[in-house]
Amino acid sequence: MSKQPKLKRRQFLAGALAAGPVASIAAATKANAQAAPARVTSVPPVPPNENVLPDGTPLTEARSGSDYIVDVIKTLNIEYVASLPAATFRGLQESLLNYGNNTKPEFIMCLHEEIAVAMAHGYAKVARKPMAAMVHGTVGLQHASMAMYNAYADRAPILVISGNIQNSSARRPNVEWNHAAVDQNAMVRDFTKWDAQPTSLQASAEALVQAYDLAVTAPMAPVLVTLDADIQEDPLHKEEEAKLVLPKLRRSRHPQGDAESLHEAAKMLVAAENPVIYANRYGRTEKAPALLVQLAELLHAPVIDGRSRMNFPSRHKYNHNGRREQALAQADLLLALEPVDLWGLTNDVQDLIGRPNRRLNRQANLKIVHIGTEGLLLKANYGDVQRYAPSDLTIAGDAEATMPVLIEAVKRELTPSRAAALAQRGEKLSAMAPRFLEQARTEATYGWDASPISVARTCMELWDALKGEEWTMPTETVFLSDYPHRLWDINKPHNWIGGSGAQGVGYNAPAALGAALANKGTGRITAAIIGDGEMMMTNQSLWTAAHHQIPILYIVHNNRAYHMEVMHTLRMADRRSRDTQRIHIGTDISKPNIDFATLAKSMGVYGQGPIDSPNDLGPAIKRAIDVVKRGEPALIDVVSQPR
Amino acid sequence: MKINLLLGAALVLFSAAAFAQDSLKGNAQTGKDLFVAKGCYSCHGFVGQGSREGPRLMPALPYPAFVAQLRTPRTIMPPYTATLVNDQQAADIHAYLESQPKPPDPKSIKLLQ
Repeated sequence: MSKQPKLKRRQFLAGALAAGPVASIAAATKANAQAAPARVTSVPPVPPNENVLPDGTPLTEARSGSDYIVDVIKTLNIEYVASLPAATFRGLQESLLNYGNNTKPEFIMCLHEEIAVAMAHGYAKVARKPMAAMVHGTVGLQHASMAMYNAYADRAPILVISGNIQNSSARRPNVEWNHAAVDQNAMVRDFTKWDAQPTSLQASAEALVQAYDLAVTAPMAPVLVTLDADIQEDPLHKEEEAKLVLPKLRRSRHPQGDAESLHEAAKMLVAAENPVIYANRYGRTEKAPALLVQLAELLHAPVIDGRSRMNFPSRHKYNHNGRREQALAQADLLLALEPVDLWGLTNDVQDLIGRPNRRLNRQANLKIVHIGTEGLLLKANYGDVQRYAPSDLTIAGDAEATMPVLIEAVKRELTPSRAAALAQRGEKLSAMAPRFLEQARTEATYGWDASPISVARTCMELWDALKGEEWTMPTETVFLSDYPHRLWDINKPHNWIGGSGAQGVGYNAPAALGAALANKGTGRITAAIIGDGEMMMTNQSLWTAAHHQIPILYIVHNNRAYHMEVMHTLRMADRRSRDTQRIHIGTDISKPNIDFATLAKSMGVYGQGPIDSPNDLGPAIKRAIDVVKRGEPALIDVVSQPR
Repeated sequence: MKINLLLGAALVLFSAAAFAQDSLKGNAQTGKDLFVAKGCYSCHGFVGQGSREGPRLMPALPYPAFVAQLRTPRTIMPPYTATLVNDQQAADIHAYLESQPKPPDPKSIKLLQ
């Protein structure tokens, strides 16, 4: 192979296209005719060298740039690449499948780029490491962009790979120009942590490893590497490869709060009479909840869980979400761990005419200690930064990485007498905890036998099937009136993974599938309750679930509307004293009602429903769980109350 | 002064509501339809069970308090003027809420244990 002429792929394509296939065959025929006597045959003559056209253009190659890129990707221990196939990365796709033997990473086929990225988003939060998503140049990246925005706002690591034909003189006419760009990464640069468009194979290798390193170091976020098609497809000769250096992944640590500030924070926490701990995007690893339990039990302080991650056990005696506003109103010190929106903990903008700002009911002497990485990754364009909020001490650092140091600092500050005083506070707090569960149970009884089925009933029918298992509930619960958090015993790090980040509709079905992919083979059941609007945005996730045999239970919370928008439009009509029946125009998903069970079946997924009688739901869930335990996906369509 | 005015306005509303209740008899079945048509269900659920978006409406508030909240909400609930829900319709909706059965005891529901 090394003796073959080093003709670049694009030079070959350009030459071949300029001349056209007829011209190429004609040239070959002419050359052949000169080499041997003419003979009559209907079979095109065979060129003297099967691997090279008469003009020197090679027809085959033993090894390409994309093979080397696979070598690089394999050093990163990436299990899966979710992708919709596309021309701008055809070289890499073939290398992954054949040269890479379709393992580490395995190609997971998706039917929309948004699904590929959202799958990687959900996967990262269960597997605690990124997978890759591979998207077409320009149009594929445009499809992927909303899911990338969600993942950025949720600070989830994803290695996004795209393709491009940078050399404009080598693009085939028409389509390849539409699928190429001078700087395609620009469209998502506002919501990626880093991106690169390398122009050599060595630079491509380094960009992939650097991107991975940045993605997994807090604050974590999606990264994007656009690989040039020529670099993927051009032959890689031994002498060129000998010059390449395979980059080694560096061992990066997460940023940790500084010791002096943590000492000060510990003093404030121990001295406070009514400290409250607020944790939102805090839980980054499996160790996080246990560390927070340790701190709460040292301080005997209530914890309010913002639920962007699995932060704290739902039934722990110091989980005081059941009296969130009262606890915050009494607080003289608030420890905010990766709060995301610090301003919103003490203020509100009311949804009234003029959007008045108001200070929430908080103590005048409230002090705020804030630990987080929010200030370490900022882009100016989108509102992800949230509103400016003052604090008495802001410590830049990953809250989970900082927690062991903070715990030790608190231990040093605790005298035996102070520890005894705090323990007395703990007794009072512990005595309150049982009533939160009782209140939620009482609330659940209202509408228990109603049709459409209440969300409390759906949640508890599902809980009945999950409570004896290892499980993950990977989807948002705000539209379920938070009943899973209020009624379920959520105590394992993998039970809950938070939400979409930016509330971009379409996250839940594929992110749940990504979580299920991470759970595959672990014995955990992945059970997702998803709105009908959400499911319709990315329902092709069902096909991927069936195609790759990813076990997951989807329960469609089918209120037959974009219900949030029903409420928004109603609010406007009410303010203006106008017709409240027209609010359903452009918001309801009815006439016809969508038959989700048939939709599921059409894509090879076990489907049941629509179920509108609450007494039918439990048996349906049991049947579906049996399917999931066999390693297959299942769906149940539940006609539901709005919230 | 401002508080006095508000209290005065509330008293007028309460009195008017009480008068309306005396003179208007609500129809629960009509109220059920209105509960959907006027959008009440969207935050409070089809049977008034409440949700994250709006509080439980069972057991029903006394009628004067119900109408006061409807016309001049104390929370972020949007207002329902008499143009949107007239007094008879308010009485019907209230009758629907009053007609709702008491929920079962949580202890009697196996799934809630």
